[in-house]
Amino acid sequence: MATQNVLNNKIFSGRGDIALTGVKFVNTTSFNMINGTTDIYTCPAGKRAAIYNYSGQNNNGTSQTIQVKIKVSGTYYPLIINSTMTANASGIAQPNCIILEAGESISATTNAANITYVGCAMEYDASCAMYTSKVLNLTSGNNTIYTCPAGKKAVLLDNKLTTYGISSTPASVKLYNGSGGAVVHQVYLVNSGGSPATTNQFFSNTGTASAALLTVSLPAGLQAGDFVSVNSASATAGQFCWINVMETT
Amino acid sequence: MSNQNAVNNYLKMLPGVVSLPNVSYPRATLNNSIVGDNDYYTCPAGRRAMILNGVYSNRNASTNTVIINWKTGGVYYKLTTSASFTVATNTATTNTVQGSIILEAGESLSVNTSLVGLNASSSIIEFDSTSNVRMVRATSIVSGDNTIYTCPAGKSALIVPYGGEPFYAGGATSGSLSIVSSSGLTPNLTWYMIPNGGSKGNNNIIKLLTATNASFRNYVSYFSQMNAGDSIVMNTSATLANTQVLLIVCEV
Repeated sequence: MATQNVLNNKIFSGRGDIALTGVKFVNTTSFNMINGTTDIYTCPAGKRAAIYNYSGQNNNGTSQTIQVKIKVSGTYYPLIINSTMTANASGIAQPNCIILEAGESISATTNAANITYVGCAMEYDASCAMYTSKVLNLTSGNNTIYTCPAGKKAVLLDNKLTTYGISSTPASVKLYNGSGGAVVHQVYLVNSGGSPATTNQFFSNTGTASAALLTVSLPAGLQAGDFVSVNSASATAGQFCWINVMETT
Repeated sequence: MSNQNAVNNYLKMLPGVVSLPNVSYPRATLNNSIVGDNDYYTCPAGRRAMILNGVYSNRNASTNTVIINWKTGGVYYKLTTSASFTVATNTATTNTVQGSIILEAGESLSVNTSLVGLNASSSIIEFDSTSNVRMVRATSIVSGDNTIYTCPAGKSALIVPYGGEPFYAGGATSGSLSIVSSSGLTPNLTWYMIPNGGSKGNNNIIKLLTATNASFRNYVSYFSQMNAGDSIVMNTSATLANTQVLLIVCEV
């Protein structure tokens, strides 16, 4: 096992604010998948698994598609829009990283055989406070995506699971709209004791298109009780929302 | 196993090179700005704070004109590379500060808005002021040569490029050496990196900026390692009041 110094910072957790224990890198490449959905990797008990990079390689002779998803309790939730790969080319220019809990899987759906998923995962102990806060299906109205726990501070992580600075894409709230129709969304960053309002609103739109991914930049440090809320105009299932966070004392 | 923070490194650095002691991520949010200056984060005693990313969301029914400022000694310096920027109604913008900055205790991050209704949030990393990562500041800028920084004896130094990432793989696209000013002048600026024992010359010019608008932030993209005695020198064609020249270094 690699030493703490090597693993703690180089890839994840930005400036080494938390110590990741029980770290293990896992090759999650799945060669020449079937036409359909393939469950590629499942996070083992007692662990979390950071899915920090992935791509698709189309070894089929014609243009094909791939969509990477997580599987939670038997249901699939897309992490990216359906990505087209030309013949014998790779795809997924911008993977959306996520951290699995025990029992959750990373999966991919393709529309043809002979497509390879190339991915990396890093397992670490589930006691480490770096994880993805997920709301699998938004309801109509305000949905709390993440609340900083009592006695903690938190920082929202960027799309590469880091806290890096201004040269990278900022930390963000991610939402895949699989409801089948356009849905109006708003995003709020609310201080402890407050409630979603115009004074803490950071995003609004006139509709997130169906089968589209919404990314809302929200670089932020949170104190205990602070929370992120997403308002949805629809109760239709399939609106999957997540934030990557790291908690410190 | 080392405990939290004991083994921390610095951004994308090679492991174990530089430690940022007692890292934390403070809340830095602004809810519903007032017209004028809004100080929304102040670095506490004994700490430094590197300003990372920010988002500025306008909930006013009219377009808001915004300036991001660094407040030090009661004076506001523009961190943006223009006089101001605008944020339309119900939109947000990010990445408006070209280059990172490190606050010392008592200094603040601030935004000046033309209207109420701006919400802001910034990602900031706080660490103990004992760290060997710091922002060098030169405040008395006179016409001619100004030595901004000399690497101390027994040390080597790294000029931290854009985004506070010393080993930023994508290259330094902005912000390594910067000047914040409200002098209103338009001087010619020439930056040099002079090796130990050497002298200023055409063979060690980093960058020449002509007719620089010294009313806001200007920067030069540069990243380098320095040996003891190496110096960064800025030559200016005019004495500049209300000016600070900045670079972030980590010394090892």
